Amino acid sequence: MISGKEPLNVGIMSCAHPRALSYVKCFTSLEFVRFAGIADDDKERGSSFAERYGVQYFSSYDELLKVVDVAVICAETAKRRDLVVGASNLGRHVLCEVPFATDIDGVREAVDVCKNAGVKLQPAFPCRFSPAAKQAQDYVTSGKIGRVLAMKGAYRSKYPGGWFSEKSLSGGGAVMHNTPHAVDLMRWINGAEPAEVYAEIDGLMIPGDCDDSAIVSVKFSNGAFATIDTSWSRPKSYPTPTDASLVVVGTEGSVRLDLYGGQKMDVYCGESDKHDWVSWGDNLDLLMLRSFVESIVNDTSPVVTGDDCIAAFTATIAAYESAKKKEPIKL
Amino acid sequence: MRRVAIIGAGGMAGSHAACYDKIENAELVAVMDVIPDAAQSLAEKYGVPAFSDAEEMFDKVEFDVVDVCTPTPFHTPYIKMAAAAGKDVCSEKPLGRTMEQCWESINVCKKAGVTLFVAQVLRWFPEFRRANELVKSGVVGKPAVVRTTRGGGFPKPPSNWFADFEQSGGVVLDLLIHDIDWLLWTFGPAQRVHACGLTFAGIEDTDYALITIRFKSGMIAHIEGSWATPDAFRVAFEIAGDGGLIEYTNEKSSPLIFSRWASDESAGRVPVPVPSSPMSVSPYYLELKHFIDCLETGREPDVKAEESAAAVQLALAAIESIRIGRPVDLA
Repeated sequence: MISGKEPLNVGIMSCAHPRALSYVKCFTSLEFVRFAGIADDDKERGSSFAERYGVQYFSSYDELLKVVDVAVICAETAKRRDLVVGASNLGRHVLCEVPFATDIDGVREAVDVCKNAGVKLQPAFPCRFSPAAKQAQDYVTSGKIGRVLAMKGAYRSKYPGGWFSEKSLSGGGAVMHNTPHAVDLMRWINGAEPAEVYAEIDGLMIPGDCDDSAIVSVKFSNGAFATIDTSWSRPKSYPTPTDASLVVVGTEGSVRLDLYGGQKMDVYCGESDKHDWVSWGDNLDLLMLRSFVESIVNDTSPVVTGDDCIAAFTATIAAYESAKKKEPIKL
Repeated sequence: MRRVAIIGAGGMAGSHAACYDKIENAELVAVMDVIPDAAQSLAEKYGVPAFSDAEEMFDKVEFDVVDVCTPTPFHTPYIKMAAAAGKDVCSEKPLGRTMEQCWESINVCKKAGVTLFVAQVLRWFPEFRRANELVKSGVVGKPAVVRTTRGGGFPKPPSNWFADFEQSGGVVLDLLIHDIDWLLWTFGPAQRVHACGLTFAGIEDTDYALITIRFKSGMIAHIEGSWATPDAFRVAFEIAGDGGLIEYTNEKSSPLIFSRWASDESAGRVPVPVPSSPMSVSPYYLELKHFIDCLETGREPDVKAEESAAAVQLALAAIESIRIGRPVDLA
């Protein structure tokens, strides 16, 4: 709980990532936060976003950083590391989309600069904050399904379009952006580290040479093995933009988790021919942001840390390497 | 009219016998099982003679077709016996326990000029047949990522030969051969397979496998197979392509659920829902009717024995991948 302290000023750096809009909505309802506004190096994109959603637009990142305590970075993947460095140098706490950079050195640098600057850094892993995922983690870690033997995970989404398929900005496609979320969930629930990675990766659905189809296999340090479907395989008409699911098989039982396929209702709109899943469950972005704000106000470690991002990203990079070499990669 | 003798009087023999009883141009004339009681109880049901010795049955009864429903390693010996006697053959899946067995069966039948039909019944399951047709009609465009799920608890037949890897080949060869055959039938030949599994983990009455297959077309397939989870038997598939997505799960496909109260000494009245999916004709009937009709008209059956051999080859490659922890290239 937060009480008796000054509210935190929060700003968003770039709205390149679609989650920026969700964050704006969350911050306007989040207690103990004053939402300052948004800056974007793409002036057209930033100002039209600000106008459309009625928030303050800052003409430069420096202007924004002057007035905030917390920077939320939603930039293109290749630009994130520099923004983390810039924000942390000014002593701002950082919540950043995943991964923090397109290569492991960049991710490590982002984590190191925040440690050295004494600011908090949290990767945007909203799945961690799902009450259902927490329950699953509790079932597993308390031994209710015995020893973990295997996991089957999926973190799929629609092709997000735009810069995501431009390698100079994204560093990669579906594997780069979906794998870390699934690996993080598995590390946390299984309580072990990825030890070996094998992957089949290809670009089979969207034009260009960007990867969109992938099955990543991970062997964990406790002997459990897993696969993850990280494809951009949800078509435009799919009723949800992202689906995240996990099956955990243990010696005494199993757990099946479906983060977006549960706690929803099917809505069919007659006018637009659209079918949507409308969630009535918790807003995971909101729970994630609240947790980060609490960690700042209470000066505790964030629930998910930069080191978690490094671990998940290491497996992600190994997946690309494995697909290229057609052999398993030991970590 | 084709007169059929069944060899091996286990669960599958019971299903086949019920189908032959309904098929107008087929007649069950004898049942043989090395366990005399098993042969006797199935034979009695249809008023036909029972045998515990195959040669005696071949000597004493006139028939046209042998239906081999034994545990896997015994398919080939009985297929050879049938071919030598000039009988056409239906063999349960998988065709053989080893590739040597598969080719031996194919060759002896070819030499003898008899038909060898492998009961890949999944091809007659209406959801799998419909999906095959939809894919071939181009509904999903070019297939990219295909996923299948099959399984539940460990099989518990009267004689537990499934638990003996040397006999059954575990969950991969015995159960996932269904999905493997369907994938090869629907999507063409495979290039490479990587699998993780509990086949050699030495956990009693537990097997589980996650298989990734790269097809020659570039498509990536993922198969989950479980003899490990205390769930109801689950079957699901998903076909994602550059033009669309097909999703199916048996959990959401039962048109009928029958529920009744059962009494439990400690819990009192407990509800027992039994979902079912009745059809006017069963997949087993359609499969065997097709086989008998092919024999009557001289047509080659839709399942070629060589295709079944290719499915066994892929399953054995997956088992090899589990054993060595590396991907296996297919010739």
